[in-house]
Amino acid sequence: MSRARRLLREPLLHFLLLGAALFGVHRLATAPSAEGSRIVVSVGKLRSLAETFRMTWQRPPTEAELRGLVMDHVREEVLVREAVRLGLDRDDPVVRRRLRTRMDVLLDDTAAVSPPTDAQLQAYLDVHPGAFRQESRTTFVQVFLSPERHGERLETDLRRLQASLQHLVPGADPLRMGDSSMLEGRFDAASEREVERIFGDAFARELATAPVNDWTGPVRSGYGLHFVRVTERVPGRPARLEEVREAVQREWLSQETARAREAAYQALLRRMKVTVEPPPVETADPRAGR
Amino acid sequence: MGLGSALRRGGFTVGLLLGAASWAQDGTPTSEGHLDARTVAQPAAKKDYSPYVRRAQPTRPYFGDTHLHTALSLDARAFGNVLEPEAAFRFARGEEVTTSTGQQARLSRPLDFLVVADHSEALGTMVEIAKGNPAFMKDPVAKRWNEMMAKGGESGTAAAQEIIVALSTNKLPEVVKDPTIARTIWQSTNAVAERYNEPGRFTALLGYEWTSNKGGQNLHRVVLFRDGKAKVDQLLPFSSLDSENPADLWNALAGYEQKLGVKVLAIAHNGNLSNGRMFGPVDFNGAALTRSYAETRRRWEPLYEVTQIKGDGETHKFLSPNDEFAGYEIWDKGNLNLSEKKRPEMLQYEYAREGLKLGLKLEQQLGVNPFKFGMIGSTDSHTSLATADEDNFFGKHSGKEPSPHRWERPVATFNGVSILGWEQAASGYAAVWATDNTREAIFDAMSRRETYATTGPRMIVRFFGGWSFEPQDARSRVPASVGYEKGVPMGGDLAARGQAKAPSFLVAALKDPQGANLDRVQIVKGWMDKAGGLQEQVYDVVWSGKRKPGAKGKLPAVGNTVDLKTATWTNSIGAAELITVWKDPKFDPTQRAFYYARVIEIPTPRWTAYDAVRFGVKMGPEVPMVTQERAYTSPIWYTPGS
Repeated sequence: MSRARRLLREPLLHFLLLGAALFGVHRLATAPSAEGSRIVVSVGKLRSLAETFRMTWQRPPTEAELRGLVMDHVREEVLVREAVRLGLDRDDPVVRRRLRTRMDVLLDDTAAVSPPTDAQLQAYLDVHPGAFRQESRTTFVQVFLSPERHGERLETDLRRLQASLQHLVPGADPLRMGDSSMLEGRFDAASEREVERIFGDAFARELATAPVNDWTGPVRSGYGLHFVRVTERVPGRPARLEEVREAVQREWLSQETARAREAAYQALLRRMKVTVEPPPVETADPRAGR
Repeated sequence: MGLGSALRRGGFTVGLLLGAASWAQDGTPTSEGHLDARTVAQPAAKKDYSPYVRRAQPTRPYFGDTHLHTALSLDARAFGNVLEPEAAFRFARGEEVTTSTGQQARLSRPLDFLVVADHSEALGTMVEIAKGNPAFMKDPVAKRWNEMMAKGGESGTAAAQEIIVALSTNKLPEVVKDPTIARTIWQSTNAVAERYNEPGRFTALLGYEWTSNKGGQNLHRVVLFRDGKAKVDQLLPFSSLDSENPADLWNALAGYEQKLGVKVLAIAHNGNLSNGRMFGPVDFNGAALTRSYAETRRRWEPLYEVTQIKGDGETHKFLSPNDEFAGYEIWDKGNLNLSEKKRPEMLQYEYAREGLKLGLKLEQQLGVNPFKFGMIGSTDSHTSLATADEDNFFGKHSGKEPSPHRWERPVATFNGVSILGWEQAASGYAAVWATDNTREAIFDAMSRRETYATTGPRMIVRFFGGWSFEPQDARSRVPASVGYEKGVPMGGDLAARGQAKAPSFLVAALKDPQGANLDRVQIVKGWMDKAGGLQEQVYDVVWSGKRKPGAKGKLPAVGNTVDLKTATWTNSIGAAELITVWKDPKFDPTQRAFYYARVIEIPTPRWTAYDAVRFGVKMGPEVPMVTQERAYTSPIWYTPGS
């Protein structure tokens, strides 16, 4: 095949020639007017129309087909511009939802956050010490009494059990006293969360203030009543960065991404002037919205 | 009988345990503080004298959801879910999140573990379609779905249904199947899980869902890994676009293990929507089951997800007419896309209890039991919110988040048949007796089936089987210690029989610390009789209060304290803890059998009752308002001559 013939078969050349021809047609068909009434079908657009066709039909378009694609594109462009001029895009919920989604994606991309420095992480930790607090740990034993098993004797039995516990003879094991239960009797360095998980939050709160090396109770849980003896309590304390770096980084990233997204939105909002008129209708009680 | 109210006997005994020996004799306290060895329950003999030394056995169950979908699942996104895995993990860890419908949501307390198990088919591509990614918009079908999702609401639901149908008829657009997107999404999801995985505090297991749906017959499996991102990133989730045959999934799992050295298992669910395929007597291609099939299935599928939002799968009234608690939260209209109506003869191959029974028969025929599975529950929620509590239920998908009309609007409509909102079950969670809250320990406990299912409440259930449990073991200070010492835990096989006449079981249940009291504990026995017939029997073994079984051996109902005007109940009935030892009264050593425990709570308001009160709506008489939540343990099996 000669170079000239190969060149003649080169689709891009076809497009360029076709484009030139169409552009000519276009100039003849439209009277020159203000900017915005100009429709240019670029080489890039021609390529993309032809490529879409090829993906669908598994061959390039014929010249006639390409001309049809171009004319259809021009038709779409003319109608869309007119629709926008008439404001049809403004009250169409589908168009608005679509535009909003695409903007959300754009804002997300702009909101990508670079990895934090140690100083940033330390600052975050200083502002949110509670979220990373090293929990207090309590070593204790609990002796259980089930109200449903004691019925009317409950008050008496509680007092007796309390007296027995407070005057334990040496060597006596409190874990053998009270009612048997699936609940464990002895807890070693249990965290606040663990205690809450097993006994519920009311019990966990009482345990947190129970005196050390003395019997407290009865303390109520979802299961019944307990006497509790704390033998050691390591108080909670704020964490050092090296202990919780991964968690701080995770929270920092999560916060900064949300913040960057919101900042991008706020920047757009600032370019607008928003006026909300007083509600013309009665509004519902706030509880109705829950 | 060992049944009776063990509780009352317990009450008497614990009186003795209060610390004074002679007080126990005549009620007069004398030398308080002394302990009399004769009156104290003795722990079983073991190496350490003290029963409280650090034990290698698990001491508490961990609660989680193995089956949660986020916006990365194609149908979830179409239903309107915009929350990706990060939000799912934060929510499961107990944080407050804003849902896809703009509501604030929080769990009553954190979960211990979570598997984000998004559909592997077209993983993450629906997010791209929703965004209008130009590469996808060239496909007319994808473009139409984009437009339907943009409209939102019912139109989004319709898109989701089209997608489920496209998936079950293998008509997903080619562009949606692009594996490069799936790989990117898979690795980034694993990265998020890695960030939220905190051994000892919260475990984020890696996994996905394989969604085999041929002809609308649900054969879905959740796949989950013991390993972390470094290894798991190297594989690509096997999808039903690769094959809809479970045998090919197992093959792929074997490939993962051989090539990457990962440990992996699969959990099937929703046999109720499989129209007789889940525990059928034939394989995917209709051929009779073989020993090799049985070995392979048992190798990869130690667990079954027995309860979830799309219905409970323990048993059906049709299969268990004598079980008064059968028929809980049943979905039996048809298969997953309702393209085929349910016929009664399908039910025997869909429910867990019947599957366990059939397993006994197949074991005799093939030498291996293909259906030797333990039980877990999970939500299968598509909202990124793992909710299973009745008073905090956020529905199957984002279109079913709380609203005044969700109860009457369809969850899904296929072929003119609808499943209505009120039919959703606010269920369930997986409870795992792991030695620690880590990926490894949880996976290992699942592998040995030391698990149970709950329909939402976090009750604690122990179940041990052996040959020498005695009634006083139920009064031990540390029942689990005796349990492990003298028997095997849930999920295990009874040891060799020796001289014992019948197996005995130690079963104990403790209510959810924030939840309702317990009505009763039952043991469900299934066995194969001499003629090869499959039998079942439900025994009430311990219950609250002073109820006595009636003429037909039926225990009277526990009562009902539910007030529907306020959607509340009181714990004035029921028991906080139930424990007993039960011996099989009809044991025949020549017959294969299994036993599992079922724990029933007292009646409480169903999620619909909370909706009715909070939204001030009146629902039709067909809508149940009261429920009795429950737990199902993994079975313990008996095999003659083992």
